[in-house]
Amino acid sequence: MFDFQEQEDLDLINNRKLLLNELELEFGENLTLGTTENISIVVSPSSYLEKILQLKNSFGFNFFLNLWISDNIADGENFELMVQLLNMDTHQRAIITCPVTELEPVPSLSDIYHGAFWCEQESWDMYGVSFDSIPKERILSPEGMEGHTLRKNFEPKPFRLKQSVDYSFSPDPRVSRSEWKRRSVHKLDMFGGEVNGPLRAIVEVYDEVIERGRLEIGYLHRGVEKIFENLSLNQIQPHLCRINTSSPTMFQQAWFGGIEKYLGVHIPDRAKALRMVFNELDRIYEHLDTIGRIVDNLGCYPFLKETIEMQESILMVMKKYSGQRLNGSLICLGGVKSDVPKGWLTECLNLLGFLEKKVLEVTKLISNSTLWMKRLCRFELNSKQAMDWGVSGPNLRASGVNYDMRKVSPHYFYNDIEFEVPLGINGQCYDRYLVRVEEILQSLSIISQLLDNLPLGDTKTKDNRVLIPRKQDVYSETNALIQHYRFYDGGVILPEGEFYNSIESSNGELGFYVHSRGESTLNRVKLRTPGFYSGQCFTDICEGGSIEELPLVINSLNLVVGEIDR
Amino acid sequence: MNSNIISEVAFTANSESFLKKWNESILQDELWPFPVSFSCCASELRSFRGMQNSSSYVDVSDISRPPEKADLLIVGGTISQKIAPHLIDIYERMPEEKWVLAVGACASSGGPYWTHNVVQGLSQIIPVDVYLPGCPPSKEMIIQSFEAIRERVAKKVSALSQTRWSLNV
Ligand code: SF4
Repeated sequence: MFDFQEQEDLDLINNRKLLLNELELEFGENLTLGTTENISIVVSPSSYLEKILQLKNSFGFNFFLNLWISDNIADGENFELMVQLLNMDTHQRAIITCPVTELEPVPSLSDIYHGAFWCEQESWDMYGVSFDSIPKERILSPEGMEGHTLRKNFEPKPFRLKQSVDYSFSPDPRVSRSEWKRRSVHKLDMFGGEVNGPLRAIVEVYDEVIERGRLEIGYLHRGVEKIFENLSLNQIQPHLCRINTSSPTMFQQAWFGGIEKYLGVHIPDRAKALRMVFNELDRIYEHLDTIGRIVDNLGCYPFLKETIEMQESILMVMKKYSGQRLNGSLICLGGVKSDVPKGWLTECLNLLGFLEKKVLEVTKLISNSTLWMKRLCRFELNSKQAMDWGVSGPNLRASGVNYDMRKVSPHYFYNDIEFEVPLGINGQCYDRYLVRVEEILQSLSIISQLLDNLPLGDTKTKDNRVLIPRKQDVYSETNALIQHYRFYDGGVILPEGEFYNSIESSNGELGFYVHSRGESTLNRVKLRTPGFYSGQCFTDICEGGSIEELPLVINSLNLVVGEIDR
Repeated sequence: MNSNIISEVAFTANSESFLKKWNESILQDELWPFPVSFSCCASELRSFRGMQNSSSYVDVSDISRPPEKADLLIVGGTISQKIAPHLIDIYERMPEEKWVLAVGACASSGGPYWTHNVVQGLSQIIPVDVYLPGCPPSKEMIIQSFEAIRERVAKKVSALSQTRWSLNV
């Protein structure tokens, strides 16, 4: 059985304390502590850039997580700019808050952290807060729309889509002007299932070789964050799994795990272990999906069939549990949906055996083939570039950076389980592929360890703040009846405050920032989806390729557009 | 086509074996689809692709076909305001006789996304022949929907011709 004691590294605790003391000296009363892992700092607009630079250079916050605007102050004109940074040594996350208005442009962070570029564009799109040197272009909403969507007073009006958007590139400082003028600009629309969602790539080509490129996103923008602001906590459930269908339980885990942590609800051990099993199954599914897409782009149709067959076998097992093939709502507030059905564990163990055999069989055939190596040993992303863009997950590890949240800030039983973190060397497509193959095998071993030691007991918490009472109790017991009405009338109410929770999803760090005013709906929800940052590094990666290879590059990064556009 | 195929579908548990029967029963001309798939429903269309045989009636294995050569437009997934003009463009580039299949709740009616940026159903922008409910629909349902399309093809009716007729164009 598991050792349920939390073992913490003493060195790590000391380092964290040291850093906190230093920060306290520097920021004084502007510093508040959520937990030792989550720090929040308030800065004034005049010292904003300076303090961020200081945090990066002297305090080691070298990884950019997120940047967003929040209207925590309810007057519709004054906003709060929030920047989230990560210290990769002590694994502490800092949220830096700075008051801003729509009238004054804010200094841009995109030179310090490249990954802030899209975030700042999004801030203008959603809230109308502009940034120096960032073009005022719509990034997610269609061009031509009026107003800023995420403001509380936004009212949709009919509009005409502006068709003549300018796709030209600015002059390239690396070459002479006459040389730059000889390049041509091409658009590549990927709407037919070449990549996981609709995307458009715009590239600058000279002599059939790509010199520069960027992605245009927003074709699948569904306004999930706006929807989240208008629904009660339980109604949000079905939307979580539809953001990225390949890994629905990852989103559910990040969301419900965060709420449970915030409310202080303890869930039973069996539920924890089952949640981990679902998450790892999702990881396998998503990685298989990636491999299948790469195979598809290279035109090896038989192998595509193999990967889809493997995915189908996972779906069959999921269907047995939840009744739905995709988008199953397996995780709920306070535990998992139900206990495992009869015979499910055996079926799951059989699945593991089948997958392991099949994955080894398929990858043995393709990994060392010359064609595969020749086509994939390209498109390099080195570790510095990856960290600059805020790329996380397997894409970061393929560049050689050893950072896996399951190891460094483990939740549930990841501490007690043996697994390894595979690393790449060059950050080429081939590394990204190999890391994923290796992660599949590791996940298989994690699941088998979990199933071997599956704790007994309940699968739902007894805490009546979040528990839906059973139907037969509602008919006979007054307490249950009251609870039932409270639950379906207002839902679970979060006390006033904010929290951030993140997990290692199949594509990288997936996090939810939630701000609540103590009402039944939430004030602000911000998703930190890994694809949003991996999508930006496309600019660095695509150089030197040809247009036909673009889907391959995008698939090797596993860009899921539902996740990017939200 | 023979209606007993559908009754057989109802009793076939295994989709693979169903597809075999389906393929065997197909003799006539082939439809050339142009799949446009965006979000979650794309995954189901993809798994449908995985069990395709080369002789199948609607072959979605080749996705590089231009819309000028296609006669069936398959749309799966949420339609945002930004992508709607592209869909209309693809639809207009297709030849005169064409059929449209909307896969999933989102393409049929907007699905769970009732927001400013989501088009509430494909029929708001182009005429639709067959709506396929489900979020996402299973691949067996996708196969069945082709039967409905086939019937319309055999009778040479399409949503477009009906619109024309009612408008007396
Ligand atoms: S119908 Fe459901 S599964 Fe299909 S795209 Fe819409 S939300 Fe996703």
